[in-house]
Parts: sequence; structure tokens; C-alpha cells
Amino acid sequence: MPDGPGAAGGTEKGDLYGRVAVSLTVLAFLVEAGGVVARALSVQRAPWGNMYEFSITFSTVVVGVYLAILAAKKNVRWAGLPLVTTVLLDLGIATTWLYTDSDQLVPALDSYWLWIHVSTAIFCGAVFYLGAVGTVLYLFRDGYEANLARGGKPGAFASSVLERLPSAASLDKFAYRVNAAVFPLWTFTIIAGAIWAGDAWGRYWGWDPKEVWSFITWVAYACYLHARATAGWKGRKAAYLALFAFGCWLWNYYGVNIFLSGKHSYAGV
Amino acid sequence: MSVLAAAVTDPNTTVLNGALILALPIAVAAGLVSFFSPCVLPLVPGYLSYVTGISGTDLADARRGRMVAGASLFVLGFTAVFVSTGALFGYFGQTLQDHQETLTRVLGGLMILMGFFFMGLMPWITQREFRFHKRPAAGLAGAPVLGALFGIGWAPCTGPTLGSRHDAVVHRGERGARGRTDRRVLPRPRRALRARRDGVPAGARCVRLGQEALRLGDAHRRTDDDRDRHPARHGDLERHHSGHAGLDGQLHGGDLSSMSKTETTDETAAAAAAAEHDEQEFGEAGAQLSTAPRERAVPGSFGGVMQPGAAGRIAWAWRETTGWVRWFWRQLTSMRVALILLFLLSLGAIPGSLVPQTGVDETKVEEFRTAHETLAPVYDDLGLFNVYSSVWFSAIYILLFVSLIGCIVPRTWQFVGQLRSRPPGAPGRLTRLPAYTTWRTETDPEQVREAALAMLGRRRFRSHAVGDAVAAEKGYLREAGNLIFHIALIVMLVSFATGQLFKSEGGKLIVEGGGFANTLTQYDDFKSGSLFDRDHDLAPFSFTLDKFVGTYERTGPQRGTPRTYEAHVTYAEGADGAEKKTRIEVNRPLEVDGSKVYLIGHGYAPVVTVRDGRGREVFSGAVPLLPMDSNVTSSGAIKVMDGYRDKDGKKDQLGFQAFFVPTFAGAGKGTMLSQYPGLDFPVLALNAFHGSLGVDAGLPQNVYQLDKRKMKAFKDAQGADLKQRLLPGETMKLPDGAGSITFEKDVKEWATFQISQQPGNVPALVGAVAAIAGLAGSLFIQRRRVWVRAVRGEDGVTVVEMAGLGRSESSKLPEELADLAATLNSQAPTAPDPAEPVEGVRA
Repeated sequence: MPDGPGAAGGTEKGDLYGRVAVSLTVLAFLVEAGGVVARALSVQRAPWGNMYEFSITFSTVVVGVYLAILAAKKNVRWAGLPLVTTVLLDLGIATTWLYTDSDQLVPALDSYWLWIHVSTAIFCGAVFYLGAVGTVLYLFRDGYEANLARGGKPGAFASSVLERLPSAASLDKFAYRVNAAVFPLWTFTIIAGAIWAGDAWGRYWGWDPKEVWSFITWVAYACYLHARATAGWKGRKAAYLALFAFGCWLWNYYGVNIFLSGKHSYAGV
Repeated sequence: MSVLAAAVTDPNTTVLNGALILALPIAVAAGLVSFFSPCVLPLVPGYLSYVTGISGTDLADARRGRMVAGASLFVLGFTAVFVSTGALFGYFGQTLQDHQETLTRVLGGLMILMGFFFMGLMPWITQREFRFHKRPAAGLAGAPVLGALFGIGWAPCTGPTLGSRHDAVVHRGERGARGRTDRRVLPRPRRALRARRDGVPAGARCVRLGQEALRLGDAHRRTDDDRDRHPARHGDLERHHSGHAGLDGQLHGGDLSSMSKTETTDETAAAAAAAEHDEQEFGEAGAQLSTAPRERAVPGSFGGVMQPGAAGRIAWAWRETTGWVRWFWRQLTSMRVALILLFLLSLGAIPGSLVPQTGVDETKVEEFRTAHETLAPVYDDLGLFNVYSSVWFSAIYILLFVSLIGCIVPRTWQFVGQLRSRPPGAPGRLTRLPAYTTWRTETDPEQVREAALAMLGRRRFRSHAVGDAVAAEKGYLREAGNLIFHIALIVMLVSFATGQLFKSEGGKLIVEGGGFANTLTQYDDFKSGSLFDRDHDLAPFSFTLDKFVGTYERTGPQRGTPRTYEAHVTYAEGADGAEKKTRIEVNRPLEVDGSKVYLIGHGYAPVVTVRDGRGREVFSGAVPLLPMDSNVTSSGAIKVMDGYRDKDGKKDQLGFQAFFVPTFAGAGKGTMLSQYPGLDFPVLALNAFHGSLGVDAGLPQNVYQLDKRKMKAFKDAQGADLKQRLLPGETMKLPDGAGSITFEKDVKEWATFQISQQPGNVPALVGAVAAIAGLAGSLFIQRRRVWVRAVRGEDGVTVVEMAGLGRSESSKLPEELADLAATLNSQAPTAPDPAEPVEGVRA
């Protein structure tokens, strides 16, 4: 099945709206990046010391990665809507619940590993999120294609939205590439974290909740990458695994910080 | 009323400090004034044309919607900039304010320079041009960006209003500072709030400016007469590579052919059939492009027909057993089981993060046990307090690693075999391969093959000529990376495991001035791996804690958050090495002879002196107390074990329950909890007891707790338990001449250190680095085969065919093949087309 025409639906007017939207996204990205830089200037360090700072940087990077892929002339404009909506949600959460005033770092975070470990963690999360968006859309589109193949008549939502998405195969491939590309970096993030933990807490791996969940996330993504290459597991099953893996990442970020107490608790959250 | 009056007299005050609701309309009015300033108004038609992509003369016929959309997007653009600058100025207002004196002078100087500049007195500058040469595209898509540029570029020109606005934002800080008598720095939350609020009026002004732009845009359209339509622009619609899906399917086919498995579902049966089909098509060509395991296990009976008699029975049993063992082994080493084990591993790790773990925090486990009396034994049986060393979790990862080894070993041999053999020859029909190209050339087939061989060699393909074709393969590093990654995982696991066996870890609390020598008896607590030799493996070194420095945030909502922890120590390597001074910080352990000394915690140790009834000193020293909260409210016990005699001269023991706060809230404040972790207002509260401390039995006892079972409290004059709050230098008298205790004017700090030896880190690190490198190789390198066939056609012209096959899903393969073909084509150029066939033949 060929790719859909994109959100523009193939019309010139639709395409124009699409480009307006991208243009506004660029603007929003610049403003948000300005916010992150201002925060960094205000705290005079890497702005990743607490959940508020992590969240604003995270959403900026998500949009940045999306725009970078767009700039590389890849067909990913379809990811814009889910992406921007969730970025808005993330920013809302960041400013209403997670807001922390500018502040210095607690001694445990005062290390150059902060630059290495946290920046890669943020970047990995951003790319994993793009992958997850691709996977969710893949599941919808796959259902839609299966329905068409059975000779079913798609509903209004399916015919107006799903029809325009790239084909299930393209979405699946996009999600796989994105996840596979960043998986080595995620491995590096965990290892860098372990080295830092060795310096800061006197042990490299202590099954702290954050460590446990980054391990679970790693194993879940490893599982997905293997499943993707295994007959009988590729397709929807692998996609569910990918979503489980991203769910683990999300939980590792929000859940572990808020509900579990461990050594990764700083500045309240 | 007074607020309104203030608004009339000083709008800036109201906008910045007054009610927000009042600030909004004023900001809107200011926006209106800005908009009609001579700087802005004449520019409006030009901008409108630009952002809508409609030229002024074409305007009248344009639709209202487009005009409104363009103007709105433009407004959005500059709103973003104005709101940002508003917020930014609000935030940095205080900072700027702090340097107002300097700023005023610098800016004054700059103003004078600008004056010269305008007068043309500095031609060497004016001749240079600073302008953006890159313009955003005309039309709706560019409108927001243009708006932003407008916002940046024209911000200084939108009249005195904006200037005074932002100026006032800067000065607001001053008023805030004047409002307070002693501190010039505003509390942080107010600053942040202001930064946010400054954004709002800026936004409101943008709305006003924008509304005007919209209204004028509309008027602009209506008054224009020209009816020529702007030619429709053709947006470059994105191209879709619809071809990929088809190619992908074929690549999957190739993929499957190399790793066909026995699957049972319909879907996979169909896929397997397709794979089989492809395998027939590609023949050997697609074989072993990967060494992923083939699944050959056949469940069922393996014994076959049982021959009569005992020998037959034994033979059958043997066949059956070996058959099942082999089947089980194949199942275990299959990808599917490995996947299930991986998934179980991730699920199995979850409880360890939810249930307290003995290895992480033992006290929490104890709390849990007391809180859940029925649940705790169940958890114990399930090993939930030790998930990562529990039987079931170990079973999962051991099985996983056995499966991994069972998979890696044969794959490694296969891979070695592939490296020693050569790429398989070209399949019969190259046209069936996912990437294919062909052309005719005058060059001899032998020459073409030679050129192809040379070219592929230069591109670092492993290539050789087989029959009428050249076969080449590249990207072996993918498989190598894959194997390295999995082997590295095993290396890491083994080094962690051995590290656990040989490691040691101990804790030690040291009060300032105290020391430590690295022998077993000096540790407060110590644990080591089963192969660690406690007598000989401890590295000989010693250190003393000279001083501990802890600083804390003084102000703001983060007041009390630790800022620095430094332990200044003097250490000596070996039994009697030279003394060296250093600092141990949280992220900077001291490394001595393979041991690392980490700074783990700290607290206070008030110095007290206890005297008996005759004034004789029976105890004097710093008593470390345990912190109970983040403000270092501490508690502990002072035990006078021997040397004390009561007023009758009888031997007795004294015990004091001590409660210490580094910063007391003040008498009558209703709390004894510390208000700040620094030593601002230290207070020591004591309860006094006498009797038997219970230490004579020789049993180990908690030094921070008083065992009061055999002790009696001293009573005060009212008959209540004796207790008193002491400031440094104060003394509490015990009743009836029983003696006294003095809180000396000295509070020492103590630090806890963890001293650990953890061998096996180097192999683990090497393993980790190798794992990442291998992973990157296995995910980013494409393994692919290329064939070049050159045969002489019937008409004597050489037909060159090139085809490629990849294992991984990459769109790069067709591109690479095209590139290779172009290179080869330059050496074996395309022959002119044969004469057009005769009409009749074509029909």
C-alpha cells in the first residue's frame, strides 16, 4: 500500500497550511530554545538540575529533532500534530506543577557528568518519543489497512485522517530506524550514568529505582529491536513492545521521580 | 480609587506593579499609540503585501481569509518576540538594575558614538553594511518568521511607549528593592512571577497592534481596485517514495530467506512460503547474508520405533532423551525464547523498584516488615526483598545468557566460515533482486568484469569473479559488531559477578580531628565478597579529617539546600607514607592504592563535659549525633560509662538523651526542630538519667540510643523529669549534687566515609565500551551483496547487469548500486541503441 498524501491531502492550500504550521513551529522552537538558554544563564550551569528544567529542555529537543528531520527533507510532517500537542502538554506540566525557581545545584549533581549523562538522556528521550509517535500511528494505520484489505469500509475518522498518513510499512520503518539509531546512545547514557554513580555514590550499580527503570527501558528496547528482526514478532507485536519500552521511559522520568524515592530525587522532584 | 488615580498619574507604575486587570487595557492603548506612530503606519501596506504573498495592486480580488491569515501569522510572529523580550527584561531587570550606574555610563558613551556615526564622522564604519540578505519567503508560510524579524528589527522604533515600557520593566526592580529596607535582592518567587506578568501586558499590546494590522489589512483590501489575481503559486509538494514499500517487501523476503523459521501462524506461514519462494529465486545468493539462527526444532517424539527387548528399550530411551535435550537446547537458543526471556527480565526487574530492597536500604525493609506483618513473610518467600539476587531473577538472566552463548558460539563459527569463504556467485536471474540495472556496452565482457572487480575492490568490497559475473560483499562489520556486542554483554556480566566476589565496602564516621587506618577493626560496618581476604586484601593507608565544610543556600525557597560538602583530609599511603593533604567531595572520591574513599554523609558533634558532684571531670569530648531531617535536627546519646561516682561516692553510670539543632527556632516558637542546616543558633536539649547503661553485658549496643530499662530519670524540683535546653557555654546542674553537664562553646562536625575496593571495573568498562561500539556497528552498518554480470549478447554487444541485495532495510542500497553503476558505466560506456526494430516485428 502506498503512502498517503500527508495531512495536506495533496491540495495546494492544504500544503500551504502545512508550511505555515511548520513555520510557526520553527518560531515556537526558537522562543522555547530562548527560554532554555535564559534559564541556563539565570542558573549559570547546564539547565538540567530538576524536573522543570529537564522538561523544558526535553520538549525543545523533541521539536528540534523533528525540525532537523524535516530539514533533512524526510517525509515526517505527519508527526507534527501529535508532537506539538504533547509538547504543549509537557510545557503545561512543567510550568504549573514542576516549576522550580532558578537555583544552584546540590553537591551530588555538581559534576561534568551532568553535561554528558543528562544531555544524552534528554536527547534519547526526545528521539524515543518521535519513535513512539510513529509506532502509535503505525498501529492505527495498520488497522486501517487491514480493514481495507478485508474489504471493510473505513469510518469518517479513518478516511479523513488515516488515509493521509504514510503507509503502515513506512511508519513502522520510520519508528524502527529512529529507535535503532538512538539505542546505542541510550546504552551510552546508562553507562555514563553508572560511571558517574561510581564517582558520586561509591558504587556503579546499586539498583536505585532510576537505575532499575533505565535498565528495564533498555531491555524493553532491546526486546523490540530483536522482535523486529524475528518472524512472528514483527509488526503489531513488536510495535506493542516499542510502546511498552517508551512507557517505561516515561515512567522512569515522571513516575520514578514523583512516586518512588531514590537517589535521583533533587530539588523536591 | 487610589489605584485608578495612580494609573492616571503614572501608567508605568500601574502596568508593572498595579493590578494586572488594569494593566491590560493600558497596554492595549499603548499598543494603539505605537501602531499609529509615524515609524510603523507607512510600513503596514508593504508588510501586508509581503506576508500574504499578494502584491498591492492585486489586492482587491484577494480573499479576505488569506489577508486575515497572513496578518494573524505576522502578528503571532512579533507577539512571540515582544512577549519574550518583555519576559526577558522582567527577569533580568534586577540584574541590570544592580549595574545601573555602569550601564548608564556605557550607554551614554554609545549614544555619543551613535551621534558621530549619524553625522558621518566615522565613515570607516558607515561604509560597511549590516543587513540581512536572506529574506524569508513571501506568503503565509513565511509570515510568522517575518513577524518575528519585524519584532526584533523594529522593537526600538515602535515609539517611546515601548521603550519606556521596557525601561520601566528594568526600573521596576529598583522600586522593589526600595520597598525593602535591608536587602536589595528580591525574593526569587516574586521575580519569577513578575517575569511572567511582564509577558502578559506585552502580549496584550501585541494583540492591539495586531488588531490594528488586521483591521487595516481588511481596509487595504477593500480600497484597492485592481482585479488581477496573483498567479497561483505551486507549493513544492512533498514527494513520496511509494516505491519503497515494494522494495521493502522484497528485502524482507531476502531477510527471511536467511533466517527462515518454523512458525505456525497463517501470517508467518505465508511469509515463510514467500521466503521459500525467494530462496528458490535467489538460490545461494541470499543465503547466509546473516548468521541469525535457523529454527529447526521439531517437537514430538524423537525415539521413533522401539525395538523389542531391553536393548531396544535402552536405545529408544537414549534417542528420546537426546532428542528432547536437543529440542530443549534449540528452543532455548531460538530467538523467540530469547525474546521472551528478555521481556521477562524487564518485567522481573520491576518489583525491585517498588518493594524496598535489602541491598539498597535495609532500614526501609525493616519499616516495611513492621508495617505489613502478613505480607512481609510472603514477600520473603518470593524473594521480593532481594529481587536481583533472588532465585527466579537469577534463573531468568542465567537462562538468557546461556541462550545468548548458545546462539553466539555457532554464529561466530559461521561468521568465521563466511570470512574465509567468498561471496556466493550471482543468481540466475539478477532482475529478481531488489536493486537492478543494466546497459549495453562496446567494451569486452572480460574488461568489464576486470573494471568491476577493480572498482569494487577500491570500494572495499570483498569481491571475486565467478563464471560470467563478479560477486562482491561488504559490511561484514555489521555481523562482527553484533557478535562483539553480545560477547561484551557476557564480559560485563562476568566482571560484575567477579567484582561482587572480590569487593569490599565499609563505612566509618570520623569527627573533625579524628583519624582512620584501613584495618578491619577500625570500620563501623564492613561487608565484603566471599572471596575477599579480610586480613590481607585491605590496602594499607590512613587519613585524618582535618575539617568539614558544609555550606547551604541562605535565602529563597531552596533555603537550606546543601551547596558544598568538603572534607579536608590529610592522608598517608602505606603504613608510614608521606602525609598529603586533599579534599574529598561528593563527586570526587579520594583514590588510594586501589581503594576509594567516598564522602557519604555528615552531621554535628557537640562537645560536652560531664563533671561529678565534686567537680571532677568524668567525660569530655565531641559526641556525634545522628541527623533526622534535612535541616540536621539531630539526636543521640551521651553515655558516661565509668569514672563517675554519685554524691555518696558510689559507682554509677550516667546517660543523657541528646537532641541537637544547629539553628533553633527560638524559645516559645513551639518547635524544637532545626530551621536551617548551618550552625546559626545551636541549641542542645538534654534529658538526664542514671543507673545501668546495660553495656557491661558485653553486647553490642547502639551508640546513638540510650537503653533506659535499667536507668532512672533525674527529677527537677517539681518532680518532673529533668530536662533543659542549653546554649553553647551553658551548664545543666544535676539535682542533689549529682554533678553537671556543660555544652562547651564548640560544635564539631563529623563526616561518614565509605571505603570501597571494587576490582573488575576495568574489564566492565572495556566491555561497556565494546558493547556500544558493537551495537553501533550492528545497527548502522549495512551488509549487502553486489553482482556484476557481463556477457556478450547475440549481436556481439556486451550486456552488463548489476544487482544488489541487502539484509537490512535500507533505502541506501539502490542509491549505492546506482553510484557503482555510474562509475562502471564511465569505464564501459553505454553503446548506442541498436537500430529501431522494423515496424512489422514490433506488431
